[in-house]
Amino acid sequence: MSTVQGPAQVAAAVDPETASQRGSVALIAAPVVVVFVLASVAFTTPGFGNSANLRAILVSASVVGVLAVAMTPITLSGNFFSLGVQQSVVLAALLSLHGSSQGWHPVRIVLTVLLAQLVLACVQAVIVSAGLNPVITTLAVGSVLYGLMSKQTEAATLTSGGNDMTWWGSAVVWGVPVSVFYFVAFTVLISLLLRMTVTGRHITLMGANAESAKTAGISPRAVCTAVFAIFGVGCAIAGLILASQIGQVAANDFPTLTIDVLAAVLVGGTAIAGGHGSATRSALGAVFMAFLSNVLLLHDSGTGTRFVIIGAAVLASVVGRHLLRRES
Amino acid sequence: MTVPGAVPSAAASLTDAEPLRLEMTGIRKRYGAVRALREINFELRAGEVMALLGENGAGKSTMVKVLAGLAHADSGSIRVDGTPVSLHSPRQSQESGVAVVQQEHSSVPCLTVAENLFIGSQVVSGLWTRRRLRARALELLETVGLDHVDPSTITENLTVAEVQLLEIARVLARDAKILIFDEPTAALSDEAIERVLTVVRRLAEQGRSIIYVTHRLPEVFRIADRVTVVRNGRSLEPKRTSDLDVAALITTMLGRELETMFPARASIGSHARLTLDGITAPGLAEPVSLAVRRGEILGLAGQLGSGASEILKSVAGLTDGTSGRIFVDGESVSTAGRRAGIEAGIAYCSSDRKRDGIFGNVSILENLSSPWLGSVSRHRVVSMPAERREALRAARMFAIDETRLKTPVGMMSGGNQQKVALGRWIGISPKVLLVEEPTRGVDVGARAEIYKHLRTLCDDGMSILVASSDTAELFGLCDSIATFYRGRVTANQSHEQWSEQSLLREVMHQEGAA
Repeated sequence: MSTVQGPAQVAAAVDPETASQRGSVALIAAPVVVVFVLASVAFTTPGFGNSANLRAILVSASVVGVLAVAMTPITLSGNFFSLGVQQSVVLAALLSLHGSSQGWHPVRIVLTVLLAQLVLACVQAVIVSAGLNPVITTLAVGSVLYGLMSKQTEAATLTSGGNDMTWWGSAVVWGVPVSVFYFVAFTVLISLLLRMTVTGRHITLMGANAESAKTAGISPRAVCTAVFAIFGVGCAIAGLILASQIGQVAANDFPTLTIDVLAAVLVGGTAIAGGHGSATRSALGAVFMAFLSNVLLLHDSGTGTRFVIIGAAVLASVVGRHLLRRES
Repeated sequence: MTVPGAVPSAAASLTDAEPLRLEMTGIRKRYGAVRALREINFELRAGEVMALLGENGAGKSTMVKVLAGLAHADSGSIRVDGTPVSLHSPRQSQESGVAVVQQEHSSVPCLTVAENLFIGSQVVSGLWTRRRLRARALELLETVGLDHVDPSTITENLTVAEVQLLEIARVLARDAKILIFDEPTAALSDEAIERVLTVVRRLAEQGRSIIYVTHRLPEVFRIADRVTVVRNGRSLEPKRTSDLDVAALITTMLGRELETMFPARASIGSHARLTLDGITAPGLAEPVSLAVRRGEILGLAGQLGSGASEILKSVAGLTDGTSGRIFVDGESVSTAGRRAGIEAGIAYCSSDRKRDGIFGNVSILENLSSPWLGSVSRHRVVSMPAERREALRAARMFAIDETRLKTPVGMMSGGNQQKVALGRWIGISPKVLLVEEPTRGVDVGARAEIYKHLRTLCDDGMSILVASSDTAELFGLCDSIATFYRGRVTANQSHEQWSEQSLLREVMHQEGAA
């Protein structure tokens, strides 16, 4: 029998990769241009370059960054996102402060916070993998959590009681806040997990095509549990950092946290429908958002203006990437 | 040369005196670096059925998209009834009288037939009464041979063939004069195909112009007046169907001769590789027991809903409520979940590769490794070199371009996508391969290649179950064929005991003998 690879097939097989490469170049070039423009703006802004300000940016980026990185597997797996970020983080912070006020050993505090977050993750994973909408599920669980925390604390602010864990989130190592190290380490860890482990690859494949993933023997429940567990760990770290930095937390603190985290993930370019994105890009998205907020603050922009510009930046990023991807 | 298919029959003749309905001149289209259309010159006369043929990736789909207003041509002109038109949106396309009947159904299952007919239609205003809609719906349904269907029927209660005919009626509701059929019969049974072809021919006789895209060459000779072949983004001179035969058509499409379609059969041993004992599952009317020997290809023939596909899904572990016993090399295999089947060496390739056979935006390499990542990992960490090595092995076996492993599989042609969908199972070293509709939407060249690969796998000791609604395919490829009808096995015998006619008769269960 003769070979049957036709010229049309060859053409179709050859050219698309070139197109893909061009698209990739465009996708890389666009953020470089954006960074260049923002850098120009930043360095012409009085007070931007001093060490205290740069440190403030890094600290600000680290909490949102850890959460954005933790959220990325949920989005990558096709489960959209969690709308219970604020409540989960507050729970972690409250537990940390409670343990601290009771004089618990730091290891016990960390383990308790982690355990609570993992239990929460498992509950949400079971519900979502049973077929319920992840956005609604996390919103509902978040609402329940908020109610329970408000009831338990009687809507009061909980403090560390003097026996705090300030070292956990406020220590400075080689001139860099320790929370930045957590952020970088967590980003590297999750990036490696997504790229190099079976679980991580299954997460991406599930988001790329859930039906194909099931046919390939990938368990939706296992993937769902993994992504919510990672998210829980991220919330635990963020909660511990915030508790130690602030030393007091109320159930309704950090009201913009959820939207900040979503913005970082979206600006980072993770596809909302799943299957495409990376933890590193979400981390960069968080840094970008912190950077933008800081520049606007130094220019004495009012809260309203800042929200408008940040919202526009998210929109521009999402639309820009969509157009570039369509072109490629 | 042996090629499957019905004996060519003359389509209704059409004179060159008929006015030109559609002219495409010098159409070119690029997607980035991809030159999808290099030079398309195309004409279509009033009342004509023009078959549009070509290999996967030749440019047919892009051409259809240009006409449907879904892609903008970079250069060239389009005329409808002699008037230049710009088709920059689906609405402009619709206003110019062009409508596309897609392979994938676009009807909304929970709406009534009448509601589906007029969704998005520009010719029905909001002032139309229910009675008036119903009357118009009845008229349209009669045109497509659905006069037995009540317009108030919920669409999900229709058969697959009826839904396909409803799709046709939908475009008629838009008063289209140029109808483009994009593989309308790809997912249909023989009986349903017959109904669709009859309707297509009738529409042409009513003066509508038809562009008919298909990979099923016998259909071309049944209904087309002329054939335009697109090769490598260029259109060739149209030819009258009566001047062609199947062999000449394939040669024109491929640009070379295809020697054989089906590979030779080898002798098969007596060792039972897969044994199904009393399998019951949703869609099966009675327990099914079958045995497949090592190196054997067993065909499961049947129309949609006959049980042929259902038994494959059950064996693959994809159907809840499956009971009965499955043995691979004498070892019992659980039917609960896909993972157990994979661990027992059972590979499964569905009929709808885009839905559950491939990951379109993911690289070929990651597609190939998706079912067996665990086997190239240690402590759940993937060994990249081992993954690449195994993926290369699968790529070589299925003649997938090894230098393109990082290319998203969705950017490859349909034939190459199907090879990836099959090739991804090589890494689990399967003992049994279950395949539904192995060549659906695949051009004639890639089809022959896939048959060759399947036979090679069998020669290496694998056993294959193929479920297909294409009886010619099963007759040409398989060592044995079992027929299904309404959830039951009606016959099971070796290839020598079947003729193509007897197989077709059995599949139709003597409702419409060939």
